[in-house]
Amino acid sequence: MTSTDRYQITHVIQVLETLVGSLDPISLARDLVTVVEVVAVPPPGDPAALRALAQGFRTAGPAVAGLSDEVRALGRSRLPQAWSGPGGERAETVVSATADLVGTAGPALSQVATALDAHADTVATLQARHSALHKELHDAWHDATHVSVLGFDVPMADPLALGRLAGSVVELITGCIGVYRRSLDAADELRGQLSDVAGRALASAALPTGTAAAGAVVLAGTTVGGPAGYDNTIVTDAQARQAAQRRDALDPADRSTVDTLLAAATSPQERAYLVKAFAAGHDVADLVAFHAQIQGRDPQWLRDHLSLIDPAVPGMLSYDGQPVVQVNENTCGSASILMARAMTDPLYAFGLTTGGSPDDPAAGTGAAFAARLRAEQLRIHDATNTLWPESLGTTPWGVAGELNRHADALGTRYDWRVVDDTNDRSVNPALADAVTAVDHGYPVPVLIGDSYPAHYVLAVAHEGQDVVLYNPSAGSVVRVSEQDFLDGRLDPVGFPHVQGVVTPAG
Amino acid sequence: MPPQNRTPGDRVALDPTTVDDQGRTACELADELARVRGAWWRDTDRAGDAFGYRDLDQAYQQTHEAWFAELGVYVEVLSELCAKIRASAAQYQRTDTDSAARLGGAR
Repeated sequence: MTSTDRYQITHVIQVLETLVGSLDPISLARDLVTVVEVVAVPPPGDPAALRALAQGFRTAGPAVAGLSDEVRALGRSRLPQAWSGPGGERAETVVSATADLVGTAGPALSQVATALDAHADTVATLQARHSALHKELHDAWHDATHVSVLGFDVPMADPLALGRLAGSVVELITGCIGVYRRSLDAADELRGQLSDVAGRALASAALPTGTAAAGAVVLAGTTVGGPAGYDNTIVTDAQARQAAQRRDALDPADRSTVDTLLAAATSPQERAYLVKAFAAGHDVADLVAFHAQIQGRDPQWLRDHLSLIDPAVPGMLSYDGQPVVQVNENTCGSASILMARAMTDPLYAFGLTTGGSPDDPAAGTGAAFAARLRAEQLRIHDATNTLWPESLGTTPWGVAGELNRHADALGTRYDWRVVDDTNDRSVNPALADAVTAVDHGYPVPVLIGDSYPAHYVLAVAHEGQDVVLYNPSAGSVVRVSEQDFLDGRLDPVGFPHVQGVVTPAG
Repeated sequence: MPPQNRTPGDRVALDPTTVDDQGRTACELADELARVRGAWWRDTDRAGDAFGYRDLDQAYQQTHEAWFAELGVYVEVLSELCAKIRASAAQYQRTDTDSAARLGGAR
């Protein structure tokens, strides 16, 4: 079978569902012909070819992982022992950053191998099941349209056999529908895993930001805090690409100013936040002013004042003892928008934590932060609910509209999608798209509820089998299993059903 | 400045032979990573109709290309490190030899 559009399989499912709802003994013989033709299409995929690809990744993964140990040894012991001074320190920094990234490459390639092998197994199982069901349906059709006369098959409808077959044919068709649905789900799962791995190729995304390869490696390995993981790099791959595009669009004088500014950064973190601010759409003058405010600050200060959240660290979020939480029962959407903006624009986070006056002790207190957090959430709530009763919270279109007012900073426009969580094929693709967006550094508001929409959370990261959510009602970072997320089961954040998502457009 | 008040950046010391060896190691690692990358590319570039679904095939190609580029950056960095570390070792050696000569030592 040649590559197919998933709509072909969806169409097969729709035809089968229509047929299974209208089967009766009178039309069974005719309908069976249709069914046998429709289910002639096996679930797509070639298990042998998938396993061959998996083998290529499985060979490369450990080979790359072994090299990362060699690179690490070079950076941590051999080079420092032989070369001290600024040049040696810089070389050590670059080698260590390279070792960290090479260290992520081996597991990433091995993860693809595992995912491809698992998908090959699923495809093989589904194709075998499909083949058996197809044969049974063909046999059922044959039984219903042939009678045996003196040991010879004679084409002739057998009314008694047709009546007996109706029930079993429904089961066979339902089995085929299950096979095709599982095929679509398996494709979605693999697509999500591939996207997760693609989103971890950070250095190549950072390369066009005007830096040499060494600078790109250091930038790509600079995290909000701790080792890389859970999409916690300061500059995401999408932001690195945005920064590169914006740099290309500058006139030579401004480009030179930006390059000089980045070169003058006193730490990898300082440089990463400058790149992030540039990616968020701030002009050169804003960037220069921002740099004057943060230059020389230590990495912990930068983390505390420019990142409200570290997706790699589950638990409560706070700034100077104040929880980063929704300020009343109606501002979960507003708090999610605020967090999405704070994650993508360090000047916005800087404004919330310092009021723009980092050297004024009163402006940087937890109480001052809490007051700004409250005012900003209420401002967003007003802006997103012009025609909607504020007591009902924020609509998905209100969330999308407010995010789109800051599309430059977020790097994308957003669309809202209602999810029908009684239909797997509605929930799964919408949430798979949400995970894909998160993999590339775009936070995604998720509307959840019980029998009605009740609460927003923000999907902020994805790593392996976990999706990371910011829950504004608790002011916490929570990990849920990817499968529960894809199935719309979000009990860990208080509600069992997903009602909608606000995902990047296109 | 008294030695006890020095910060790490104040002191420069380099063992040219050992540093040059480390530069060569970076070169060898770059070569080995390039070899692994090339073999992996050859083994996995042609997916054919493995996936069946067009969008899944595109997702695979994107991931494949992203990591080919990513591994390429690592190779480039290691090659740059090799060249620059070895150049630093050589320059340090030359500078020290020149200084010795200026002070009347053997060249």
